[in-house]
Amino acid sequence: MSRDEVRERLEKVFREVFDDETIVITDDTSAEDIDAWDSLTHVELIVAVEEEFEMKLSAREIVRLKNVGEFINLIHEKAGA
Amino acid sequence: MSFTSIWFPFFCALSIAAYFLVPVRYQWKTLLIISLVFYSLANPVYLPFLLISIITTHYFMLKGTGKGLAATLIINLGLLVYFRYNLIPGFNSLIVPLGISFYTFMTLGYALDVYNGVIKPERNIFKYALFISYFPQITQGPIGTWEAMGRQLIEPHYFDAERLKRGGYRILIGYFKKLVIAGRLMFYVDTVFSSPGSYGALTLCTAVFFYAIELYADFSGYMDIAAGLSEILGIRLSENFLRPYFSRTIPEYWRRWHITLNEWFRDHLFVPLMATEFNRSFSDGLKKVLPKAKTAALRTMLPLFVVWLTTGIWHGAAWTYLGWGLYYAVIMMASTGSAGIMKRVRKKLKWNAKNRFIIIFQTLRTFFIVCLGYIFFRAESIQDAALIFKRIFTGASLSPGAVKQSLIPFGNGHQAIASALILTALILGLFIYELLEERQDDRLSRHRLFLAAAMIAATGLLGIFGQSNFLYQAF
Repeated sequence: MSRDEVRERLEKVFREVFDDETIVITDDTSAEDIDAWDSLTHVELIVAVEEEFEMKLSAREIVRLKNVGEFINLIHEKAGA
Repeated sequence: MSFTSIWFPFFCALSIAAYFLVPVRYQWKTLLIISLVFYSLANPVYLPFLLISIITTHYFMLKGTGKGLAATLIINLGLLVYFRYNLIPGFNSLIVPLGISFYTFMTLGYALDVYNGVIKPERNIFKYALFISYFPQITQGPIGTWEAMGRQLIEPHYFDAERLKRGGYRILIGYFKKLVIAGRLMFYVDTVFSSPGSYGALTLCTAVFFYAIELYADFSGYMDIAAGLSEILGIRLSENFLRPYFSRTIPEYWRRWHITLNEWFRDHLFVPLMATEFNRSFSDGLKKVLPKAKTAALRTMLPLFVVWLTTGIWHGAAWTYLGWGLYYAVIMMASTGSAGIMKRVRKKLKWNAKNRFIIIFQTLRTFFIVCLGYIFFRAESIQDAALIFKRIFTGASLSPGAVKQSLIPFGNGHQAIASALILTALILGLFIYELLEERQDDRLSRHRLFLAAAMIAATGLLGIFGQSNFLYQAF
């Protein structure tokens, strides 16, 4: 799976979780850019990513994420491994 | 030294002068010395415990290993539990190092971030020491992160008159909130809560409402003084309050009240717990009982419960804080658990979230829930809390007798009526000020000079000086 593909699928996940079809994610997108991004939607996002990409994310992996770019990298690495 | 000490303004003036007069390469070192002097002025006995924490944490986290983290957790949590919780009979500590709950959490946050690879460990122990001991934030937070504070504290800063004005104005707001509003409300609140059995529902409700305002004015007032002072130095503290009583839901309230503590719990307890294997199995088990529930919501249940219980205990080893923590655990779990259903209900009802009445209703409801929580938080025992709840919900009355009784804690005769009127005016003033801030009304910045003069006059005339420490200093 290419990095672009990951980004596209992740964008779909974002749109579903935040119930907003207009969301466009970039590498720099972070919790500050999306109003509805709180603890619950954060968990929803993690669960949705785990389901979409069929992987388990550990606490250490999650807390390191600072923006969407790092999220894409993480998924990309884990999916490739 | 407390921010309310008469010497504090002199200490600040000297510190600011020293900070900007020394060559910039000595600036942060000067700040470290000032901070350690400030801390020692409270009680020199506290200093060794702060230094033990700083030296051991810095050393053990240099390599960021699991063993180093374990040592750091044992030492810091050990000191915190020993001093704050008196768990071992016969080994009760007579002193509690100032700000230990706050600086321990900053320390643990640093250690966990290093261990998790979020930040790189600081090699220079003096720079790390400044991060922990920085004097505007050591006694009562905000619980800053290394990411937000580390570099700022070390960077050179030059004197800026605009920052002095902005910071000075914020310090004024802080003293007005603390000395006038919190200071005046304290008498009423303390009188009623010290013997709640002697009062009826109306007086108890008034005391709970006053406590909500007192605690906010006290704690956010402290924060304003700390942030204003820091701004003059050119260092931005993380914000702790964003007009929390204008929140529309409880989760929103917790994103706007004591923000740095809640972010700490989110990053270092909620998220790690959420990702554990145990929590996955636990939520899978719940899913069997509640097949229609959302997996994500179920995944938050256990972490929310643990986080809120811990938040309660962080405030102290008392049943009242445990009760308060449990109260929020239940509310947060219910709120999160029902979020999906509520969303569908609102869609069906064509609920307009921007409707003014809906906004007012939600805000009042949230404030009401917060006030009920304060009954646990402020009551002197869990029995007192139960008594207050019982009286409020069974004996509500607006009879002339009840109204007269509610004036008693203000004082005698005419003094009571004058006090009640002054307090009403002050609370209303604070409310209007914050409402304008919430709406980003530019009249606040246009009339800043007038507002500053009014606050100085009010503080001079109505301020309660030399009475008390800040409420959160006890935690």
